Amino acid sequence: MNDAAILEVKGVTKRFKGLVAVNKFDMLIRERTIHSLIGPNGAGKTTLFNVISGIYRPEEGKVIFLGEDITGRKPHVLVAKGIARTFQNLRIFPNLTCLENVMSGQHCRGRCGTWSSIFRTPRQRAEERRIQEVAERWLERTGLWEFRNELAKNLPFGLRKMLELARALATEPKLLLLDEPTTGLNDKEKEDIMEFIGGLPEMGITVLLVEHNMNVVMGISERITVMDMGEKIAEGTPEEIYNDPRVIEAYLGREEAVA
Amino acid sequence: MRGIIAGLRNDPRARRIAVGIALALVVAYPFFASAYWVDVAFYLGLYTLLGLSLNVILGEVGLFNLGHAAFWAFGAYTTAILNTRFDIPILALIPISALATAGFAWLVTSPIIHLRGDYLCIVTIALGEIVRLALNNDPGGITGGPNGIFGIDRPRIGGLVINTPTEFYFLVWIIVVLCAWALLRLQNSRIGRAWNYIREDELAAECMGVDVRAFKLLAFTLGAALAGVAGNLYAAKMMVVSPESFTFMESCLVFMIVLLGGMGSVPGTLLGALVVSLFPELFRPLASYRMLIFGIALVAVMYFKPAGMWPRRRATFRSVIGREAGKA
Amino acid sequence: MVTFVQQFLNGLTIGSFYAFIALGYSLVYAIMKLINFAHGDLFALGSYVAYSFLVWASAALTAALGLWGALAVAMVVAGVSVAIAGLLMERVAYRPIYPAGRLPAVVSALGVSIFIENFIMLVWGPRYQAYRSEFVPVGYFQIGELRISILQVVILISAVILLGFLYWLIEKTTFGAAVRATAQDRATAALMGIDFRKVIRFVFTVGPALGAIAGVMVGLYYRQISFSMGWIYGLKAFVATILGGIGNIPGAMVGGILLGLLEAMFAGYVSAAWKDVIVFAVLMLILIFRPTGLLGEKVAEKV
Repeated sequence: MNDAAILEVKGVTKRFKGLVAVNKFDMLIRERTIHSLIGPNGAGKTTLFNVISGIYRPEEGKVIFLGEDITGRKPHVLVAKGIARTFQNLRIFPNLTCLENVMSGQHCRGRCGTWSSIFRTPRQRAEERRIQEVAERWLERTGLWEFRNELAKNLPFGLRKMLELARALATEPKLLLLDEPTTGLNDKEKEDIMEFIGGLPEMGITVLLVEHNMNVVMGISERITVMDMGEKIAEGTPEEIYNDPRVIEAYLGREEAVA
Repeated sequence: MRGIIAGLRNDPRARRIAVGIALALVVAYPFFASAYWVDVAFYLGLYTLLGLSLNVILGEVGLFNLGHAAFWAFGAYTTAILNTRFDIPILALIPISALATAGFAWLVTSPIIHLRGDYLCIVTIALGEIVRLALNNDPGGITGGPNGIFGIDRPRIGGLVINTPTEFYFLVWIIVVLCAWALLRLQNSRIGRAWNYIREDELAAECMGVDVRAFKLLAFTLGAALAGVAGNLYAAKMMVVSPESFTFMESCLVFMIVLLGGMGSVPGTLLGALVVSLFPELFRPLASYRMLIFGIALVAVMYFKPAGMWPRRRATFRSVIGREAGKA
Repeated sequence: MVTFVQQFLNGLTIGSFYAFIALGYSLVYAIMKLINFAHGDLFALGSYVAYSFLVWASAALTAALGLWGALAVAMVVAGVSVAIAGLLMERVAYRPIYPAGRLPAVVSALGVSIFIENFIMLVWGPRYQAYRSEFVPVGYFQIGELRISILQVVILISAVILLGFLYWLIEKTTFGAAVRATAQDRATAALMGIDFRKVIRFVFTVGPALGAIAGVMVGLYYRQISFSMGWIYGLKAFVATILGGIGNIPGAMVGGILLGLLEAMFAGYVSAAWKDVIVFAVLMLILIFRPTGLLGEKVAEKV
């Protein structure tokens, strides 16, 4: 196991109109691991996630990526630095083809501008070729190859979810943030996508997995952080979390009772 | 008809022949048409150019710009002022008007570029009105007030003065073809795709590494530059510019060209311009009823073809990793 | 001081015209998220309908009901006919196109706008029409140097009554709650048993009717009407809508009054020629610094 930290969240607080969504949150993610962030609905997971990926700027605290303070940097800057994400409620580009969708990931690795694109300079053509090649490789790996020229909106839900994952991976991320990647999937699809995610650390990609369903992340995570009401209530290996009374209370005490 | 179009799409050689025939028709047209219809075709070219310029902003990036006449006016007045006061030749003013209008667009859209959808739409309407009213109020005595500026030169190339309808026709269509070619190339590039990502889902585009703000500004400045060129040609053709040529109605017409044709579709824009500029001509016998019918026609097209008459079809890429992947 | 009071009253008067028109925009936007570009033209249509009605019937009506009675009848006639036009427009040009998305709906709205404007031009002619002096009340109050026309006072009083009634209707009644709920979240409102069609009918009746009433008032106040006046009033009323926060009903009223005051003060003290530029510049500044209007709340996009 590699001990180097890839991402550190230090004392992050995010409020909305006085409502504290995330409160003095600390978290450390090590390279080439799968780290899960779990908690009941409304715990503040997605808010924290949006702070890390640059959509929200926290009121307090810092986010440090590979030793660099990235607090409040814009998402497109973070993507170039190696942080990619997916969305809980799926945000693909519906009227573009699957290939074009995945090619968006390589946008940040390209440099060519207006003039070189109009005159198709050799450098521009080489770059286009590389963008397309990377995109095609990821389509192949995610099993979407045959749909490459299909419009994204015409894919079934499960494949769209996979497409979003391929798109994020095409940015060549060091850290991949996944927001509930299994929501809305059937059991078979869930299994497929989790197996795929499980293989990512071997490719050198660290994964931060946000889940609301605890069972999904148990088998796959190296470490788990549990969040409730904007605060960290527990952190540890899956076994530790499984037996932690505070976690059981947070989950069973409220949610299961309601459900 | 449908079969022919499908054939053109799938066979690049057939497509090249079709484009060749179309270009040949454009070249041959003025030698068969009367001066009046050559003039009509000049305005068709002008509206196509305006349509293409707005298409960059509205069609590619999905930014609702209903104040495009402001950019057109800016280009026309830049040409008019610099030509009448400093005797700079019209053709030399083409790039100057383009750059000046792009600069103007950059300046005025920078603070509003973050606005979404309808809000941006309203601000651009306001922008169009501010520009028109300012031109009308003659600030510092440079715009000539409601009468505008007259006595603008004809364009000259060496000893040749561009004067007749046919000469103007070629001037505008050469520029239209060049712009269409450049825009088609941009569509299938990193730049064009980034624009489309923003149109499809702004937040997702930002999270995929697209600098949304920069690319929106790029679209606005590029579109404005082309509108500035259209302004230059308009000033040269009319030899006079006045605020009443750049009303909200003009912005609406160009907006409709893009939507009637199909967002982000270059051939669609041409078709849209054809409808908008030929409609008054074809319905001339109906004289005053034609705009009434035009209003109905707009509603009808949006009912039967909401994506426009010639929507853009996404390109299929020839695979670079080849067969091995296909088998897998 | 006299100038100030005079400009203030003028501002309130123009402001109430804007408020009337702005309400129509805001109601439609709140429910359909559509900028009804044809709304300004409905306003102009109202002005013309009342004009023709008065030309035809004012003598008889004035004899029977007095001048004010005749004007009230003309307003009702204009309001009802334009409301019918509004409902028709929704049925023909918006309802079938709405499902295709917002951009086609915008183009359709522009189409309707062009249609109505040209319809007015064909029926009433391209030149200005003047509200004849026999149907415009001329009396005024003289207080020191200050001269206030009775017409202005009546316009302001009826504006207060009508806007007050509408405020009550939207904010205090069950039906108003249904309209506000639909504006907030159409799907949930439908689940709660609110009839969307009924709400749509409401906004396309009340909005155009108010616009028409404003049209009649403008005709009486300025005496002159033209087929193309719809769009400039429409545009300014739209600025008022934004000023108060689009989709916010009391906001549209406040925005209208504020805009009228701003315009009158600027015209009176700085420059009449640049007053419209100021109106639009204010619009841009508001949108840059407070995109949801002065009364609106800031809302973040849900991620």
